Amino acid sequence: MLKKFWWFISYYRKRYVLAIGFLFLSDIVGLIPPYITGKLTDLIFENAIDLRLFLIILAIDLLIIGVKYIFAMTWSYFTFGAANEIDYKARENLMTKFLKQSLRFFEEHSTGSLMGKSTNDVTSISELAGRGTLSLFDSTVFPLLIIIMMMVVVDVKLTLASIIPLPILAYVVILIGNKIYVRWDKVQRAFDKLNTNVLEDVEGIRMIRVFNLQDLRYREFVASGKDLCDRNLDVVKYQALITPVIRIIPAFTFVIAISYGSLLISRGEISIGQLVSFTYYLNMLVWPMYAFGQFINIKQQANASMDRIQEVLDYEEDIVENDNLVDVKINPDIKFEKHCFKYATSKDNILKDLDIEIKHGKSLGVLGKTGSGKSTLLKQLLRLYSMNTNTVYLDGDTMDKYSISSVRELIGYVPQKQMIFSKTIRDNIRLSKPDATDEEIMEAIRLADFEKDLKIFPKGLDTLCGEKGVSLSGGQKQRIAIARAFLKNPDILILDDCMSAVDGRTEKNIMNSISENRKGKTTIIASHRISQVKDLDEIIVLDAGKIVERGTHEILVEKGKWYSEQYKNQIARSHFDEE
Amino acid sequence: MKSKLRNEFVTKKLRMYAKEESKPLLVGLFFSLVRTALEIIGPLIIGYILDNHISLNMAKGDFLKIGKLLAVYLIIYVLSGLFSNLALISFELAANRISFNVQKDVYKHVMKFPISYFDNLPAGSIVSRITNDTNKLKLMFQLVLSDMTTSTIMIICIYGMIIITNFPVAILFLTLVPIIYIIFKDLRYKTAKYTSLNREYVGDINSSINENIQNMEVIQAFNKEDYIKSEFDEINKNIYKTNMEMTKAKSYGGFRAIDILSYVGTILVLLYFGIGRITGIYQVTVGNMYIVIDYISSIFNNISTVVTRFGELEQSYASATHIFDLLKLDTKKESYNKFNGIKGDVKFENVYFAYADDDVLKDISFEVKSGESIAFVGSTGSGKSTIINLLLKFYEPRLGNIYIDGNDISKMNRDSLREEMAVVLQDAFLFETDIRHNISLDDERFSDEDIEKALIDVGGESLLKKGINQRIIEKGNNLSQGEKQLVSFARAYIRNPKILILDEATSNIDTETEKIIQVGINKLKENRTTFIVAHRLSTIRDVDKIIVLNRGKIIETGNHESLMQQNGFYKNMYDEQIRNE
Repeated sequence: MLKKFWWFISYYRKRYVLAIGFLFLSDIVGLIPPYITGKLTDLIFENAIDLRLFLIILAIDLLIIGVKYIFAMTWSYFTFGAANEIDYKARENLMTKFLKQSLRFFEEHSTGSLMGKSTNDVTSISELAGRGTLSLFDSTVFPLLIIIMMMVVVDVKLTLASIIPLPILAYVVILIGNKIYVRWDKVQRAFDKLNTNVLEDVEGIRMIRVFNLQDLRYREFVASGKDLCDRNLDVVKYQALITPVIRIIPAFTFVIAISYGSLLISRGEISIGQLVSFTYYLNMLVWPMYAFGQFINIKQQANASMDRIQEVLDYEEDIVENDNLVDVKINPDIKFEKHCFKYATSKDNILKDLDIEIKHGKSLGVLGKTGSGKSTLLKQLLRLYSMNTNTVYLDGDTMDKYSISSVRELIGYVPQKQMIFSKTIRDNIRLSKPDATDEEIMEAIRLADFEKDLKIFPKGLDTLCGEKGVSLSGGQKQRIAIARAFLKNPDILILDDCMSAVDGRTEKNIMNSISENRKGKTTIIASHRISQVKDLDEIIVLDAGKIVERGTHEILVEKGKWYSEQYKNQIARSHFDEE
Repeated sequence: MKSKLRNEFVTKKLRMYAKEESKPLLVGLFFSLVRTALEIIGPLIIGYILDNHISLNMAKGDFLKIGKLLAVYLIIYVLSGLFSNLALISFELAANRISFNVQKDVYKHVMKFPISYFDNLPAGSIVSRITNDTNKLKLMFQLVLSDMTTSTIMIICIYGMIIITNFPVAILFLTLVPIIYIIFKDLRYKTAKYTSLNREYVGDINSSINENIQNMEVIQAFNKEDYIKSEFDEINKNIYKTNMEMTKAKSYGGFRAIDILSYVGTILVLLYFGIGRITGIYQVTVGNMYIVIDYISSIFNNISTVVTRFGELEQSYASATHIFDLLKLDTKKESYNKFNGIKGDVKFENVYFAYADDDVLKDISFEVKSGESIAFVGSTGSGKSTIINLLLKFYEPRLGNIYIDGNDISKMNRDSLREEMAVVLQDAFLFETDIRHNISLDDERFSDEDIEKALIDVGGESLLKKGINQRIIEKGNNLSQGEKQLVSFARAYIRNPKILILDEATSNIDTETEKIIQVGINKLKENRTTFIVAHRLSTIRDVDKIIVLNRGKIIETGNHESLMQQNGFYKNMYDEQIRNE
């Protein structure tokens, strides 16, 4: 049962031993005051004690309570401290795992599900480590201790007779717990339904207004809201069932204890004080009957969560690097030879028999319709997916000779999707070079033609991006991403259609920066716009993963095929943009 | 000062909602009081038995008496169980109803907000305000009502009982009150401080996880896994630290401290009774002592409930504030000038519009006569869809006027205006019900025959094979894009609107299906003013007027033939599209 949790139990074994040790001590010490109360009752009412001794005993009692306080603090600190550490550790393990995965992993697991694992599931296993441990102990060891104490200090028969109804309490609590569990599920579904409904309304607000559906939709909202309310009340019915049970059953044990106890007193087998102690112990037994139900609940949830987390932790990495890899040298020549590629999820090859050679310091432009394989080609060098590395050569050696990180170290990459973090503009840009100075960052910003935008933000480089900060336009995000790549001044610059949202003039400025600053370094640009590739050393046109045209701009224009058609169109269009 | 005012507003609102459900609340309160009374009597019986009946060598009569008293004891607890059950149910009923009422009001209110509210906020967060925040509000009522009210009643009643029966003990108990107060204050302070910090960090880490997953490509491409990891670790460590602070606070204080204090309470009682008995200064009995110890531990149990619940209360109060802030936002008042049937002449006169600072429409003027069709073309961001937004009164122009049949629409009632229009958007947007209701939209004027005829007329005969009872699952995923759009065409057609708006209605559809739909569009256009926003120029060849937009300005106007002759932007776009298809 606990096998799957072994990793953290063993990790925190010391802490757990301490925690449970102190819990044990605290519970044992806690059993002494009721005994003293009973004993004192007898001594007082039988007039068998003087004031001095009485006060001394009370002082000792107070001391014992003090000791219990210390023990209780200690176990609580260790137990819940361990729970906090597990919360920390589990989340860290997950993140470490995420960072090691190829992009395929993220296509197979939705962000939502990964988020769920790192938040709710992590919480529920830490809950097991904290409250779960406590309730397990309280429902097993603790009641045993109490019962032994009752038998030793008071009477065996009285104890056995009185605790008979208690298992019923435990049973009923678990039974009702199960009923509630099933109904909770329905509440959850009703809540999801309500959420979906409202989401539909929010997303379809235009439709709703145009067709004047407000009343209709309101009625539907009320219906699902009512359903949720009813489902909740259904759960309440069962929750409320527990309240009489936890009053009536202990009352029964009391009735047995007092009636049988009075018989024993009458016979002189026990004293009134012992009976008083006995009732306190009986009271203490009520909570443990609850605790077991609670433990089962917590354990079930943690079990399911642990499985979900383990599924990720056990996921085999797509890309495994062997040892004895070497670092690639700077400024390598790049060569693809009959290179094919397919995604794990795709049926056919996305790249088909590509032959491309980019000598160091040269530049390549990649054109083609959406879906022709431009982005996929660019990502090959980054090895973001598991792929065949035998057909890609760096400086004449196949790519698998080199460590992935050393290859990536040479590359400055700007993806098609603008990837901006909720950080300051400075931190967003210096992601590529965390130790960059502000001067270097400003230079990169200048090259990416972002300077004019930066002036608008009063906080400059400290402007926060993302939800809590300013909302950047698509073009601004793209230029931040470009500045990020420029900052690194990489041997190989890869731009994946990353200027789609910038206007013609800005694009021209960025292209100028590239031609000035990339001398002697390799540059690869994929684009829809001819203006971004026409000055590059070689241009290839992809169609369905194959190269259909290649050459310099002049050659391709002359050919009069797709490329030159595009060129004519775009020239004509740019006329309207300029005005 | 400001926050105090706001809190007053929230409290006032909460009281208002509570008042609406005063019946179950009062019933719950009544049951709670009865239950408290019963639970006060319980220990009295045991005390009475201890004092008067239990002794060495009891007679049979004593046993009988004890038996009778215990039977009463049992009945009292059965009744107490019953009443606490009823009290809980009543309070829960009230809490659930109140949150439902709030939910309804929030929904109604939010749905009246201007469209810009919906355009600017992510859908998820709007939904969360209507559903999640109100759910937390319910938690607050549950906490306040079922737990805290009940416990407070218990504490007051039992303490009252101690005052009556053993006044000196009541005084003695007061010495513990300052300690209880300190424990309460400390926990409240720590909870307020660390839970809000913790919530902030948890929010940070969630967005960090989310962002890192979304941006994984860049992180890996720049070899910055370790860098990102160390940033993540920092937030993660902060969470750990605040959790540890809370663990510390809860280890020495809160529930645990109250628990220890309850042991101390017992010692105080022992002290009083012991001194009385040993010195003989005042009379005490064993039964009485038993009762008081029982009462004191009961008081502490309830105090601990109140103390621990208080922290949670603070959290849900934040949600309440959130909700009522939302309810304070104004919705726009509607004009009473209603359209009562229109011809369908539309005129834009020097219209300017900006979502934020920059104008996205500049000096737009045009006119369409009733029955004519007009199309808007241009690249993304040229302002096409904004024109439709203005026509539908989703937004108001910054400058300039829009007239329908010569009436300035800014002075007319919005709903009556929209009643004359029908819209087909790029995203068909189907509700999760059957095809019939998606077309009729629950309007009883339309019979099944009308609905089927409408489907056939717009070219959706093939859909009839599935039947109009076909259910549509989430987001219409069991229909093809084309089929979905046919349903929304039928939806528009059946209403016989005077003005029809097709906003990128065919953008998501493959050319094959588009040919079928084109038939539907031509049918739809008959006898009404039609506005078309289109990406594919082939679909608008036979409209009466085409307006070409670029960066918010009209750059060309005419019909297809005249625009092709102009040999400008339009022709250029057209040629390119033909070639790509």
